[in-house]
Amino acid sequence: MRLLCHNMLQCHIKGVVNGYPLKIEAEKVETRETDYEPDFLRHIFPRIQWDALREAAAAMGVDDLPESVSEEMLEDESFLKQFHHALLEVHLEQGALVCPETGRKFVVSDGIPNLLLREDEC
Amino acid sequence: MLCSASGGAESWMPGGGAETGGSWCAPQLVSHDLLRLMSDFKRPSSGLPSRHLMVGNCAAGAAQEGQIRQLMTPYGTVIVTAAGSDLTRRCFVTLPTEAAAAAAMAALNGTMPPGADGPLVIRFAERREEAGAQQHGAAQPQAPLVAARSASDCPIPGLSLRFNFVSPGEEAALLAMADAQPHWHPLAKRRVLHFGRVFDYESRGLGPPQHPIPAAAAAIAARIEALPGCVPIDQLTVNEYAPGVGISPHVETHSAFTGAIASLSLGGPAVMVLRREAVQHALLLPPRSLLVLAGEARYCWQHYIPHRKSDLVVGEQPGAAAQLVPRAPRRVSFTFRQVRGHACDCAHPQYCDSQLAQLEPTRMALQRMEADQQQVQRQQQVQEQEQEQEREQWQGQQREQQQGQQAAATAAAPSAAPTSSNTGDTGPRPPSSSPPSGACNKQSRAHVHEPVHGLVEAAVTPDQPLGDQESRQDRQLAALESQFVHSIYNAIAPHFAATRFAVWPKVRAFLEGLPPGALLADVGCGNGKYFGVRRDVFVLGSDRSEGLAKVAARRLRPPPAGEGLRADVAVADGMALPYRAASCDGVLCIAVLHHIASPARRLALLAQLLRILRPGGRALVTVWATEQQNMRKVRSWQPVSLCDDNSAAQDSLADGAATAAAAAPLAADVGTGGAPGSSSGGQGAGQASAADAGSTVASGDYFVPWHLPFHRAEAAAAAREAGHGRQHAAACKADAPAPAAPRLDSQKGAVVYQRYYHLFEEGELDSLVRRLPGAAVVDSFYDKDNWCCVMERV
Repeated sequence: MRLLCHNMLQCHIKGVVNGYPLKIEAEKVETRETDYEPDFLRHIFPRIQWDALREAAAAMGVDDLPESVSEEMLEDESFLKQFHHALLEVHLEQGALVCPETGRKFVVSDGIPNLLLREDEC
Repeated sequence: MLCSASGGAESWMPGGGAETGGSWCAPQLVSHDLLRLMSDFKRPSSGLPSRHLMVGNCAAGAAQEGQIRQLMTPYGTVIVTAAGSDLTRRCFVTLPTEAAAAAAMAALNGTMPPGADGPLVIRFAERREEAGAQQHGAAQPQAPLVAARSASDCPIPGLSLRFNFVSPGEEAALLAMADAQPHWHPLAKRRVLHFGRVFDYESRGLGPPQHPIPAAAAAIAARIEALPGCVPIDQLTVNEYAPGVGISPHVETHSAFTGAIASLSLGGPAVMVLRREAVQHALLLPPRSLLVLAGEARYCWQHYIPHRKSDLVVGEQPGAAAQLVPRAPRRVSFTFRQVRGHACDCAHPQYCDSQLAQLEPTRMALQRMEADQQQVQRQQQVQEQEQEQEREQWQGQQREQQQGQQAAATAAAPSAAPTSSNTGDTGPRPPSSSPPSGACNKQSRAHVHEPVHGLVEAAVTPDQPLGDQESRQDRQLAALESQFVHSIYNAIAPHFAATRFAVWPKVRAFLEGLPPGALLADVGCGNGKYFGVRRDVFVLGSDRSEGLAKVAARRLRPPPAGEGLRADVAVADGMALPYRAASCDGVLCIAVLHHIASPARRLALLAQLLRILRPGGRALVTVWATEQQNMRKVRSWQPVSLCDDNSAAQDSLADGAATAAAAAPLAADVGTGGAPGSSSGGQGAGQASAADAGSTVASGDYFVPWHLPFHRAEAAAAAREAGHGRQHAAACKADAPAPAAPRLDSQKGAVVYQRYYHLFEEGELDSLVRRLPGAAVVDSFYDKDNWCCVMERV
C-alpha cells in the first residue's frame, strides 16, 4: 500500500465522524523505485490532503516533506521528487491502520489493507 | 491410426524425402552453402507472388544447378541458390520479375524433368533480407539455429540430458508395449497415450485416474525417481511423431504437474528448441536419451520440436562442420511426470498459471467456442423465426378479437362501457422481439419488489436508521451475499482470475475518457485486469474477496514478479467503501451490482460509488442483463426466489446449494399477478421467459454455476467441502455464513458452485441510478449480455 492510497482511506465504521486520517503502525516498509512523472504529480496534487500525507510519511520513516505546500512548489523539481517518493515509492507491507476515533485496527498484510468491517460496525 | 504426416513437399528444410532405412539414419556433413541456403529464404509471409521460387524434387548434388538453369532460362536471367548437396533435392531460384517467376511456376510446377523421380514442386519464396527490410526497415538475416549435442552447451538452469538411459532391448520393449495399447488418442498431428491420468488438451487439466502405468514403463519411472531432483512419478504420456512432425512451443502446465519432468526419446532423434523471450537454444535428443527439465528449464522456458524432416546439429568433433540429421520414420517420446494436486507456488509467477500467467484458451477450446457460438446463432435464427410467426398469429388473434368486439358493441346498447376482459394485463401478449425486452413481466416484478420498497427509501437517506424488521432483513440479505457470493469467490479466486483477462472495449473507452493523472476506484477489481490500461491513471482497486485481492496485488509487484502497475489493492466491501468522500475522478464497478440481493442494497452500493466521486466525476457500472444472447444458458440457470420472508429464502438457498442439480423452483410462487394466459402456447425465448416470469423468475434472481475443474488446485478443498453436502449447508444457517457447499459433477470433471446473481432488465439499472440524489445518467447501453450505465456526480 502506497501513501497515495492511504491518503484516500478513512475509517468507515458506522457513526464514526473523525475517521481521517488513519494512523499508520508500520512493521515492514519497502521502498520500490518507480518512474518519476511530474505531470502525474501535478494532476494528483489537488486531491492530496497534505497534512495526512506528511504524517503518514513520517510514520514510514520519510520525514523530509515540508510542513506546508503551495501550487508554486509544483514547479520545483526537488520538491516534486520528494512528493513522488513519499506518494508512490514507499510501501507499507506489514502493519496496521488505526482509526483515530475508535482505535480500531485494520491489518495490512503483504501490502494489502483489509478494511472489511465486522457485522456490528456497519 | 497415425495422424497424417505434415510437411511433405511443403516442408522447407532441405533433406528429408526418401530415406526410410534404419530407425536412425546416419548424419551427413553439411556445407556452408547449405546453411546459407536454409537461412536466406522463407515461405512468403504475405502469401503474395514474389520473384523468388522454391523448387523441390529437383536433382541433387552437383547436377542441381545445371538442371535448374536449363529449366528456368526461358523466363529470363536466372540466379540459382543451390545447395550442391546430395542430401537435398531443393533449391531457390530468383527471376527478374514477379511475372517471370509466376510464368515459370505455372509452366513447370508438377512437371517431371528427365530423370526425376517425382514431379517438381514450385512455390513462391521470400528472401529474408527483403522481407526484413520491408517489415522493419532493416535487413535482419537470421542465422540458422544449430543444435547442440550436450545439455552443457545450452546454458539453462535445470536442463540435463542423459545418453543411453535405456538399453536397445528396453527401447524395443517399451515401443512394443505402447504399440499394444488400445487407447491411443489421435491429435491433429500426432497421437498420444496417457497412463495414470489423462491430460485434457483443451482445458490443460487432468481427468480422473485410469490406465495404470504398465510394468515396463514403471521400471523406467523408478530409475528416473532415483535421479537427483526428480520426483515420484504417477503420470506418463506417450507421444508418437511421424517424420517431419514436431510439437508447438509450450511450458508444461504449472498447475497440472510438479517440478522435474523427464522425457525419454525412443525410435529416432529430434531437436528440441528451448526458448525464453528472445533467447533460444537447440539440443539434439538422440534415441534412448533422457531429457530432464527442472527448475527454470521446466517453469520458465518454452520447449518445442520444429516441424521439419531434418535438423542441423553441430559436428561431433570440436570445429567440425555442422551436420544435417534426418528425422527417423517414427519417434516416440515417453514423458514421465508427477500430478501436482495443489496450486503451483513456483518462484516464477510470471510464467505460472496458478499465479500471474493467465493461460490463453487453447486452440481446441477456441474452436469449440466458435462451434458453440455458431450453434447459438443458428438457434437464435430459429427462435426469431418462431417469434415472428407467433407475432403474426397474435396480430391475427387481435384482429379477430377486435372484430368480435365491434360486433358485440354493435349488438349492445350504445352506452355500454368498453369490455375490459380482452384488454390490459390479463390478455395474451405479443411475444417480445430479440433481445426480449422483458416488458411482459413488469407487473409481476413490481409485485415481487413491493415488500422491500421501504428499504429502498431507507437507502436513499442512509443516515436514517432502519426499522427492526428492515434491519433484520438487510442483515439476512447480507449474510446471503456472503454465503453465495463472497465465500465462493474466495474459494475459486485463482481459477476465476485465470479466466479473466480480456479488456472489454467499452471499459477501455470509459477509461480513456478520464483526465490525465486521474484517480480511479475499481470497486470489485477482481484480478485487477483493468489496472495499467492507462499508464497515467492511478487505480485504487478493492475487492470483497481476499483471494482475488491477493491475485490482483501480485500485478503491482515490480518486474519480474509482477508488472509494477500504478495501483493499490485493498480488501473492502463496496457496500462500505473506505475512501473519503469526493476523492476519486472515476469509478469502475464491473459485474458487481448483480451480486447484491435486493433493490435497496443495490441502491446503497450505488450511493457509495457516488459518495466517493468528486463532482463531475463519472462511474461506469455494468451488470448482467436478463436479455442474454444465449437464452438457453439462462434457462439452464436455477431460478431463485427471494421473497420478503427471507428466512424462507435462506432455507431455499441452502437447499439449492446442496441439491443444485435440478432447475426446479425453490420457493413458493410469489408472482401471482400478470401471468400471461396460457392460450398462446408459444415456445420461443421471449415466450418462455414471460411464462417463467409469471411463476418464479419474476425477481430475476438466479443461481449461476461456476465449474471448478478437478485439476485446479482449489478443487481439492472444494471437493471435500462438497462431500459435507447438506449438513454443511444446514450448519451455515446457524452461525456465520460459510461458503455454500458446492457439488461434484463427475461428468464435467468439476466442482460446481452456485453463485447468486440478479439479472437486470432493460431500464432497471438506469432507474436505480435516477433514484439517487446527485446522480445523473450520462450514458446507458446494452453490450454483450450486460446493461451498462455511466453516471455522473452532479
